[in-house]
Formats: sequence, C-alpha cells, structure tokens
Amino acid sequence: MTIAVALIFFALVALSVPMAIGLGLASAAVMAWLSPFPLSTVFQRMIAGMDSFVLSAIPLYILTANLMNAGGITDRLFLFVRRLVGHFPGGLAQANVGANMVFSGISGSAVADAGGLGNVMIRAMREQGYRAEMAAGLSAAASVIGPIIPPSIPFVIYGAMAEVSVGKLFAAGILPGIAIGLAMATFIAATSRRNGYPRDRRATLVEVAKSFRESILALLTPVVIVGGILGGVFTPTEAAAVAVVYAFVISMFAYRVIRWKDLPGILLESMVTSSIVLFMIATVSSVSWLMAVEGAGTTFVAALKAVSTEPWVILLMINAGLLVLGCLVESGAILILMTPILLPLVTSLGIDPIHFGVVIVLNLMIGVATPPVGMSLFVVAHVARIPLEGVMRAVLPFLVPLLVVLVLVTYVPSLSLWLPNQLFR
Amino acid sequence: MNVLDAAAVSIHGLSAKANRVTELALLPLTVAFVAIIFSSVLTRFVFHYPIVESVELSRLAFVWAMCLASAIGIYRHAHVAIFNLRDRMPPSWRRGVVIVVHLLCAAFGGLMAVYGIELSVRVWPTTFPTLGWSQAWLYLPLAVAGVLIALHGVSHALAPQDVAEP
Repeated sequence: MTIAVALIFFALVALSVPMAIGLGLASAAVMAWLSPFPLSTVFQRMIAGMDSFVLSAIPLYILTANLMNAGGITDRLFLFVRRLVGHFPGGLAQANVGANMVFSGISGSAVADAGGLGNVMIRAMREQGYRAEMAAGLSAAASVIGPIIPPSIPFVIYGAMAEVSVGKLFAAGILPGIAIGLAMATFIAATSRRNGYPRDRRATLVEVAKSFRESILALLTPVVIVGGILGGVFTPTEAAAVAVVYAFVISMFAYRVIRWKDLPGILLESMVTSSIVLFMIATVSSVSWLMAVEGAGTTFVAALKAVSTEPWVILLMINAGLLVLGCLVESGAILILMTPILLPLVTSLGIDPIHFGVVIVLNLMIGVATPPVGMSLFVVAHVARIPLEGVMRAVLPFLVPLLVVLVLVTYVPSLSLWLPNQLFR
Repeated sequence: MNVLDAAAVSIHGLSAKANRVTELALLPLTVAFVAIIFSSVLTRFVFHYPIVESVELSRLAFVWAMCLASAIGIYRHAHVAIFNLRDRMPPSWRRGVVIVVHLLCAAFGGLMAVYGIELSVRVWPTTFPTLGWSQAWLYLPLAVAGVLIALHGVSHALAPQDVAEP
C-alpha cells in the first residue's frame, strides 16, 4: 500500500497537482481500492491530524512574523545588525547571517525568513555591489537558521508527532542555531577577500546606540517568546498568541508602522500561508496512518538494521536519506511521515528523541535551501527577480558550513542536549 | 456566448463571491482564535482564573480557520506544487494538464464534502468534554472547505488559461 501511495503521489505531483491534494488523493485511492478500510478513514485522519493545540501555534508564529515584516520592523532589525557587524570582512553578508539569527527568534519558518528578510537584505547587498545571485543564495542558506533557533514551526510539528516537550526542543535548538550562524560567518570571512566582498565603515557608538534604540522593542520579542516558555510561564502555543498580541501592539501603537486597514490583509495572508502547511499535515496524516497499519515502519527499520546496528552508521544513513528527501519533498510532509518511522529506531539505539528532533529538523531545513525544489530558493529567486538556476548555483558554497554543523549536531549530542538538561531539571 | 461559456462565467462569479465570503468569515475567526488563547493566559496569570474551555474552543477555531484558509489557498493557487514538467510541455498538452489538475482538486474537494458530512452526522451524538457541544462541529469545516475547493477547482478548470494557470 505504501509503495502504491508513493507512486500515485509522485505521478500527481509531476502533473503539478498541489502536494497536499496529491497526498490526499493518493491515500484516498489506496484506501478505496487496496485496503479493507472505509474511505471515510482518510477524512477522519485529516481532522485528527489537524486537531491539535500544539499545532495551532503554527499560524500564530507566522502571524507574528508577518506583523513584524509588514511594518518594516525587519528593516530596523537588519540596520541594527548591520551597524554591529557590517565592518567585518564580508560586511553585508555577515549582517545577512546576523539578521537571520536575530529574526529567527521571532519567526519560526525558513521560508518566511527567506521571503521577509531576504527581500530587505538582497536589495541592500545589490546596492553595495554584491552579485544578486550570491545575495539570494546566501539569504536562502541563512534562512535555515530560522527554524533551528526558537520559535520553530518544524519543532512544533516534531513535538506533536513524537510526543516530546516542544519547550525542550526549543531550548535544544539554541546552541546548534548559534553554531550555524558562527559557521556561516566564519565561511564568509574566510572567502570574502578572494571574492572581493565589500564591507561597511565601522559604525560609531552613537549610530549603534540609535539603531538599538529604534529596534529594542522588536528585539524583545524573542525574550517574550523563549523566556516565557523556558520560564514555565506559558506553553509554546500560548507564547505564540502572546507574541502576536505583542507584535500587534508594538507595530500599531509603539512604532506606528501598520494601520487598521492593513490588518485584514496581514491576517488573511498569514492564515493562507499557514494553511499551506496545515492542509499538507492533514492529508499526510492519512498516509502516515496507512503506513502504520501496514507496518511499513517495521520493514524500513529492519532494512536499516540489516545494514548496520551501529548508531553512527544508522545516523549517517538517516542523514543521507533525509537530505535527499528534503531536496525533493516539502519538509513538513517528510517530518510527519518519517518521525513515526524513525523515532522507534533511534530510541532503540539509545539516541535521545530531543537530540534526534534537532538532527531531523536541521536535515530537512538544509533541504529547504537545496536544489532542485528547496522552497527558500524559489522564494529568494522570486523576491530578487532573478532566474532560479543562478540562485541554485550560488547557494552551493553556503551549504558547506551547514553540512559541517549537521555533522557536529549529529555526532555531538551535548550540543543539543546540554541547554535543555540545564533548564528542565 | 455558448452554453459552456455562460456556465463558466457564472461558476467563475460564484467562486469569486464564495471566496470573498470565506475571507470575510476568516477574519473574525482568526481574531477570535488569537483572543481565546491570549485571554486564557491573561485570566490564568492576572485573575488566577483558568478558562477550562479555552483549549477546546481554540482547537475548534483553529480547525475551522485552517480549513477555510485551505479553500482560499486553492482559489489563489497558493498551495505548493511543482510545475517543472508541466511547463516543458507543448501549449496544447499543458492546457489539458491544467484542466485535469483543477478537476482532480475539485474531485478531492467533493470527497471532503461528502465524507465531512457523513462524519459530522456520525459523531453528532458525541460531545466535547468541557464545551458540551456536538463533535460534529469539528468535522463540519471539512465539508464546508470541501464544497469551496470543489467550486474553485471547477471554476479554475473552466476559466481561460491566464486565470487557470498559476
């Protein structure tokens, strides 16, 4: 049944059927013709997949980011980071990575970061003489940081699927997220002379202080979200709702950058963007159920264990498989399909589910920035108004630091587990 | 104007109006969804009075909002799809593929509508533990979104190429 679902799904997607509908049609066809279960099971599973208090955080994080983006608060954050690091080798490229690290504390989605921040940064980098393809490729690669540093939509999905604490996952992502930022910054510094990247003059203390003052309220958003969750004040979903209200208040009343008439558009855009992920989660839930009923997971685990029972070899195979899958299929769908299959395998090998959560999410987020179908690549090519092929080539060097950190995160569990172990005793 | 063109125009108009109504319904639903969760935090910490119904209410608002937004996504061609193969086809083939894809979307919407109603009827006697409302409210958005997706799918399939093709 699983193979039939996969074949029908890929045939439909090749025809350009939306992925969510393709998953739904494939599972409906298999349920109707190849399984003993009633067709209504597909639709019952769709609602069961979506009906989750944890998952309801997703539209709220997207709404928070859109409220910030709509009023140009993103520009203030970027300017602040530019003042801080713009004079380093590779100036604006460094600011791009730094701004992604800061904005990742507000948004939880790589694609949202690529679209929101990418737009601002690609424009600034082009004005300073960077090639548009390089600026877009870097923006796509740096957007990977977004869902690793909390809040994170993929961590919310993984937490719901694996039934582990989203708060612990958020804490586990902080150090790997910083590691990615540092690795990318080092890579840019090392290659900036050869590539002739320009840099800003060093900003004066007054300029830094001014840009800090102008962005301080926005910079406090991650403190509200992450501090609230880690401090046990509220759940990740409640933190997301508090962040929405906070973003609304500062955009509307403190910065006065959005007006009442802008709100319907922001609300609708956020809900439609969220539904793209949630509709896929709904339809993939029925596929996941079919796979569980058929025991596809057990077969898959047995096949992997037949190759090796060494944890490092299994993790290597999982990483390779996820990187390939992440380049071809939407990351949320893979997360829902693969988490129930892989989790029993890795926990049986003694791997912590929180650590594995960081590994699987990082793999899939690298996929988001990897050709041929990495979503961030499409988004940055669209906002930069340049051909996709150029971005696909330009992103490749920036995948090197991401892959280095992936190896570190995979084989040094304490990089992910140290912080949650300190905070959640 | 032949019969098919007239039908296409009226279905297209109906699809646009239905989408506008869906958008108007989604706005207060979204505000309510945020307000429910935020107020539950506020009442718990400020007034030490947790609203026990808030989790079920917010889940309901969330499922309704996402189902309606999914239908708007179909209307706007917003859902993730891969066009590499389709865009390399000769124009005559491409037009055929576009129509088939929209009809497949409409068919899935039709299935959502039929089974959404069936499930709603089946679970009608069962209720949410704290709200006391019928569980049918959880499955009804599937039916509503299904009808909308079917309508938008047929409308796109009948529309001229520049409208039908994202």
